[in-house]
Amino acid sequence: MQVKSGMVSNRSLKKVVKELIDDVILEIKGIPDFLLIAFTSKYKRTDYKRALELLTQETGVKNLIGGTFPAIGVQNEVPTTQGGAAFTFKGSEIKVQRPIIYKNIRTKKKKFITEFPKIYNTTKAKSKIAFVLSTGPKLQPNAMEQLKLLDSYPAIRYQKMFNVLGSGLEWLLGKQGLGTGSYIDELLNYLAINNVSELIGGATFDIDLENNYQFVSDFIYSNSLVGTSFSSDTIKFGHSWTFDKSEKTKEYSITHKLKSGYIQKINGERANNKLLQIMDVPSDIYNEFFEKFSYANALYLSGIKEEDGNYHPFMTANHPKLKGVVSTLPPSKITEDPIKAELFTQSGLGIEKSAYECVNKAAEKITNPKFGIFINCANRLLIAGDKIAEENKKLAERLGDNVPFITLYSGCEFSIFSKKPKYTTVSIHGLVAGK
Amino acid sequence: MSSINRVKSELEDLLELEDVEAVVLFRIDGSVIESSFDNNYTSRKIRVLQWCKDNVPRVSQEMRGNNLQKVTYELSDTCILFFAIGKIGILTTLANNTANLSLLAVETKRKASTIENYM
Repeated sequence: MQVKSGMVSNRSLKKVVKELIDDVILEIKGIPDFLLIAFTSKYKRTDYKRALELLTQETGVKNLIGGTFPAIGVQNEVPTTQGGAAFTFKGSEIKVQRPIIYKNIRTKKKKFITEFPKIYNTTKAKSKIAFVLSTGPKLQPNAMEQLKLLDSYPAIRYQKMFNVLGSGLEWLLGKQGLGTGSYIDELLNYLAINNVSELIGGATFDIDLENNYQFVSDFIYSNSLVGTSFSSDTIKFGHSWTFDKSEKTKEYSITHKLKSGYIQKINGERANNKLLQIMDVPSDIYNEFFEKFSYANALYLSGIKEEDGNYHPFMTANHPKLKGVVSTLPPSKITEDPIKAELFTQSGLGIEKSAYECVNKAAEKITNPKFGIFINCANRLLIAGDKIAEENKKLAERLGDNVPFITLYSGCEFSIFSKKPKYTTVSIHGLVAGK
Repeated sequence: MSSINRVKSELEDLLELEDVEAVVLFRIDGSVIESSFDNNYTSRKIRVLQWCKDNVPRVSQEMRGNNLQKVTYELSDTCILFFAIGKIGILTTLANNTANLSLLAVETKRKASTIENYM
């Protein structure tokens, strides 16, 4: 089995693609069976289109899937925020399902949840896993201003009514290609019920919450889900997830919240001020720093304890315009009762450690890894900054020096493990294939 | 392509990043090896560049003395990232104060490593 991955960093996407073709894809003898292409998110749509056309023409590859991300990493390289990466393989040991596209996935879920499980279950191979990339958070520049409505007295007093209104609003935003990534939580639950037993995926994303794109072959989409699946009788697919659980600091109770994940009150008080107070962040310093930004927020990691004793991580985003707090809690985790949450710290070392934990668990039943695909939260990249290369070194340390892998820094991460869906943020999900 | 043209191309890559206003490769004594600027020459930018040039010898001495790979200065309206390039150079990136310093540092580190290979 031939596997290659590589990365090129340059302001010109044309140059990036030419080098990826010459130095990575054409290193495979024959037409690759699978090609995952990831570009960073600040190029123009027309540039992506030309790049995909060049890729398909020059390589003849049929099973091309990909998207745009704030950053991308591969083995033995410092990740890039300006360029692209290719991950490709060829060999009879893995059968690749022809990639499929589901347009307007936020509002048209039915086709995906009925069709995809059937496609996934056509093979009876010993080991199989679906691989999905879906559109991630994209919001209007004045989104924070619009959210002010959720701080109003009626929104707090009549939560059920606002949940209905909120889902209507989400649908309308979804029609315009806007919204968060939480719709994926619902999709995963449907897939798991319909016998999709193993899946790994991530959300295409732009750090400024602007356009993100998905690719299949030489087609480019902006509000869609693209998916495929790998199956094999000889190769095993191990996968896992985790997050930086460095240190738990303080507990708090989410007493008023909406299904969208918007937290109105913590411990019975307005969530924004209360959370800052719990975190010991002086509100005047915070306001001075963040008021000039339309999007930038104080982002903090929290977790809720689940029945099995593990934590479900989520991100809270404070913004001076709001009295509440935006969170990435998925709808399935929002219960009627107050939610007990705990603040977690994040650190560069914690991020490295959790990356190793993820790859180690994914590879625990594999003695001879062939490749890895990692979906890693873009927020972890922001925490680690230029130390992010250390995280990739940890992945390489466990996989082996010459094992190709790709890391996509995504808008949210998700998996299905033995029919149990897991939609998270601030996390790393990893797939390791091997014998 | 000659080494200096390759270096120039890497600096131009950095200049294309959001919020980046100028990129200069200094020798540790403060002399300019290569640079790349956007076309918007403001007195503020020229003042900050002069400040960088004057301070590179001191900053590089501090970096070498304390084994630092990166030093960041956040002035009122400008952020400056200094990355050491081997023992002879300092890659200096000027960005406006809304720049995402984490993302900028990732790419600057990458470029510093590439430029070091050219030198």
